[in-house]
Amino acid sequence: MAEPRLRLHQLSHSFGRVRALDALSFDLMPGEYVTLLGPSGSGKSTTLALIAGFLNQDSGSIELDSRTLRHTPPHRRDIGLVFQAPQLLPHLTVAENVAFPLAMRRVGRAERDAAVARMLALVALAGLAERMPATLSGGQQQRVALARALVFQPKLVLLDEPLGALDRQLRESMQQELRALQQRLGVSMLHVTHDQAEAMAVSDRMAVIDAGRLRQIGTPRELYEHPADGFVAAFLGEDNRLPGRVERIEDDIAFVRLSGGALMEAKAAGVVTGGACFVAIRPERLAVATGDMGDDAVAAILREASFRGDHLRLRVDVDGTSVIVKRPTVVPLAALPPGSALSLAWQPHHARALPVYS
Amino acid sequence: MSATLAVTETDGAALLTLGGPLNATGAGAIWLEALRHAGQRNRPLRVDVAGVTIWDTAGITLLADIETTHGSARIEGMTSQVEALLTRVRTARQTPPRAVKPTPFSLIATLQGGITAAADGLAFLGEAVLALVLLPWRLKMFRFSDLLRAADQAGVRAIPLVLLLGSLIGLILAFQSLVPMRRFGADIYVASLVAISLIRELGPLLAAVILSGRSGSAFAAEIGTMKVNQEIDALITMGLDPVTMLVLPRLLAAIVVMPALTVVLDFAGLFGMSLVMLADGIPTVAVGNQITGWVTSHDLYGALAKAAVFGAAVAGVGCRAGMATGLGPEAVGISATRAVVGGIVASILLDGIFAVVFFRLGI
Repeated sequence: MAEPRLRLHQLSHSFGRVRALDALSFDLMPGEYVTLLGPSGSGKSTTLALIAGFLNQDSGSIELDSRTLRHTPPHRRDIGLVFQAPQLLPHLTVAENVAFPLAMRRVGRAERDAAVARMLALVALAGLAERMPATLSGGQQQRVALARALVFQPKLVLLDEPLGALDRQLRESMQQELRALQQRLGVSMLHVTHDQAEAMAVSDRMAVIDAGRLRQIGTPRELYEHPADGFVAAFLGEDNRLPGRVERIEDDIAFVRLSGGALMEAKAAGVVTGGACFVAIRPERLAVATGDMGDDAVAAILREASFRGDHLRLRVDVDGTSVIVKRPTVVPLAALPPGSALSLAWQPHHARALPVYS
Repeated sequence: MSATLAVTETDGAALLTLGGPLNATGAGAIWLEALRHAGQRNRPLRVDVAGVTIWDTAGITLLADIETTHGSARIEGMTSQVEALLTRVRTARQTPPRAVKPTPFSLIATLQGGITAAADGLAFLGEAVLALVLLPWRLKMFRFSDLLRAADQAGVRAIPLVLLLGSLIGLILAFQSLVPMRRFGADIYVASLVAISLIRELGPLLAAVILSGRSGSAFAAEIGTMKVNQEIDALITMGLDPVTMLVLPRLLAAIVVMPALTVVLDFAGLFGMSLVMLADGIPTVAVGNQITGWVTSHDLYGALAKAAVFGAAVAGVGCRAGMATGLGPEAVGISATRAVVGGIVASILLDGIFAVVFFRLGI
């Protein structure tokens, strides 16, 4: 297996008494796009600041291409950075801004001009090379910043909420561009965000951190469908939780007696026989039907059905627990009056039985 | 009417029936008992809340508490609003806010903090000196226009204020000392008294206070805002030295403008004093003779040297406060306050040191 481009090993950092990072470890492979996802204050920006060199870790190590970074000043780390604000030098033109890192590295003029032209073409700003940053829109400025971070072909590019200041539509199109650019150049990127949709849209793998600890790292699909714990599950979209008790476990499948009496199956995730648990299941994984579906289903009462364009969102009541169901709009449920009896069912591998305190 | 709680047991299962107003008072009255029942986890528990007449967050919190205490309690008879509230309470509980403990005052911690701050200050001084030494090799990073802008801000634009405060101080000093001095027939000496105290001490010190309030805080706020906006991080990654780019121009500007401000303040003070003397019947010529007879050029040069050092201290403290700005929107305000207080304290401390040094040197 190839050497990782970036390796974080047992990285810890405290601000006074507050522990911002606690033994964080993960690897980023060459050409990989990893997103660091977490709520505000989870330590993701601290991680970035440590990698960039604005802070020194209390303990642990950061290696870039197997070389430890502890005593390397930020501008010698060969890392490109994109911040939330473009941070362009206001007295230089777009081309001069992009050329800046090359000038600081004493790259020759001809080579520099060629690299800048190539980079500006890549971010679709070729016509704006001689403009001043103040005359560009927010999205264009951010593209200049991106070009500046990429132009010296760094080993790693760090993106600190790079799309946070843009409006939603622009953000979505920039996500696609960012991903396309990354794949085209094959550059390794570490992207910090609190927006789970953005993380899912751009990354090869995403790392969820909370309170300075790594909760889980994996592909967006792994994290969404097999979250390691309740935090990851709740952070990556809506999640239903039905309380119950584990009756028995067979081959990783837990048979859970729900509080309403039905016996349902779910993948066992850290539960023990006889223990109280939640059956966690995504809203779109629930099958719903009117009337009784038999023993493998749970009885539910419709509380509210709302039309959301691309899907139908139902709020139903299962033994006193509120459950959200998302179905394609073709399902003729929208016309049902609240109070109708429904049945819910699911595939055992789509649901997870989690211990109560997770 | 108060809240009610009834327990019925059938086949080893318990049914907890809650009724009445489940607001803060009602829920509080039955809280412990309800949780006692919920604590018996070996039997299934159902909670019927259909009979509850009034709800508020306290009642909902009780339900959530019953749920967590028992583990698999079933709550029945909720309206959709109550259910929605319960869901919110459940979510709110999943991430309990960390309790903030007020740190108790401790002498050792205060001392540690003081020493750390002093060490940080020294480190900053070192960085600034290093940047100054390396300036010839970093001339491209040093922006002369920034120096001029800072000098304009801190110097030229401060002149009206310096004139006003200087003449007022001269006026007040002269007036206050004139009353007792006249009793001894020593009116004329008020001129040399005010002139010496203004030129040697008050001039540089007051100019430093004005600089600290006007510009020290502005430096801290400017640099602090850049820090909060990650602009300084951006400079560092581009290989630009923020001390050379941001601190040196302000520091040099303050060093240049402070002696000038001091001279302006001295003259304004002497003018204010002459007005009082004139009103007392002492002609300006006599006042002028007094001043030239008593004040030596050493007094003025020493004061100007002091002023330059105060300028460096005020600007240094201001820029350092800016560079040390923490996170969050209030951090910049805190830095600005630190800059003003630190600048004034540093000036007065340095003035004390100068007093000793000048005395030893016989100046």
